[in-house]
Amino acid sequence: MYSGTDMTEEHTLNMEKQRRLNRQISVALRAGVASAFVIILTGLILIPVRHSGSPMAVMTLSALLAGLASLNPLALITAGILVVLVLPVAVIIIASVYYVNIRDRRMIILCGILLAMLILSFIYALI
Amino acid sequence: MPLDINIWILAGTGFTAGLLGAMLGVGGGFIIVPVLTMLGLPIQFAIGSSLISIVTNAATSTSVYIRNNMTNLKLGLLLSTTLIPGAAAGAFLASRLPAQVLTVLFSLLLLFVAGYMFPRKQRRLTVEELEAQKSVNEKSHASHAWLDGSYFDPAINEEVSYQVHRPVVGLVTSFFGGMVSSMFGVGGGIVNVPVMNRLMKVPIKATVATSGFLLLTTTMTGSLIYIYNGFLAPYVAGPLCLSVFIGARLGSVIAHRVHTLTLVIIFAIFLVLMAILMALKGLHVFGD
Repeated sequence: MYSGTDMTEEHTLNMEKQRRLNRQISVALRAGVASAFVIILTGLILIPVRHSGSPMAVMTLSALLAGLASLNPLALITAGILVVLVLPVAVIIIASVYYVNIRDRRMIILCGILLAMLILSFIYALI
Repeated sequence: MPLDINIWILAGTGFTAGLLGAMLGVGGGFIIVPVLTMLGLPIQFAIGSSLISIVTNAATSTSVYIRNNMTNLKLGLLLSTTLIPGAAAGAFLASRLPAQVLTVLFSLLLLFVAGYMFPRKQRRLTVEELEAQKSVNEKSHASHAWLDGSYFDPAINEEVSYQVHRPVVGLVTSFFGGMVSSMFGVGGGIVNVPVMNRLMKVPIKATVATSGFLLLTTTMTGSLIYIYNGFLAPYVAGPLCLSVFIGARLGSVIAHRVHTLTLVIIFAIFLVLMAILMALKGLHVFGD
């Protein structure tokens, strides 16, 4: 049985943990957007110098990796776009770890369902 | 397939979409998709590029809202479970519809949004209606109290606590929100914001913040389906991502300094004009 003071302390502790999670998600999103921005900008700057290939091309994973190694602008821009698209998955992974730590079964199940759907979307789109 | 859209036109379109989107609280897709389509880009490519740029925009705004504890993460995660299948269904449908049909449907959506944006007076509920609503809300709330949230509102210098109502209605309508978003390359806020604010009784600031989070998951799923179907144009989506990001940052800074009502009316007129032009294009009035 919890006393009123215990309940308030527990609530404050939970709020503090939730805020820590919010800060972690915020940092991950900002880092992801900043990285994507730099990668796409590099690709755009290199277009006049190293442009090759169709501007509408969808790259395979191996072509993308080879393109990145040779600083191909199309590969760089595609990689930047992929970094942006990975961000929601990163957010849900961070949230999942938090809910596993606090043993919130309902949220663990929700995050599991979402992760499965997002990862399936990636597999469907890219493989 | 030719792609001769000037990079500066793309940058200008993205910048304007980001700027107006942040100032008016709408997704940039309502500007990006019609402008790119009118410039000759096939509509599915325009929608795919728009969705990718919206992911960037949503990630930026969510990083700010969630740091300020405005986003209701549990609600966002719950609604995403139906938004994502909706987004997949919308993108799947759009990639199989003929471009002309999609163009005409998009023009109808633009007309709807233009009508929705025009300011109007809202009817106030009577005391009896408010009491009846309160009693229904209190009876049904206990089972989903885990979704309730709170945030600090600097405008009133107070912690605002709120209850979330009708989560099942939210889940069902979110499916359609995801579908509209992916089908037309728009944010989906046009469905999510009224549903969360009016039906689920989430305060508008928490609604806008949570809607930004929902955009992340929805537009990502939609983008991936467009990529799978070959509708990715990196040289279009890349510059759009950057320029929408810059425009949105500037828009959020100057939003409170401009007369929003005038902007809303100008934007609504722009949407009507674009709707007419896109309908004419879809109906082949200009020829192919």
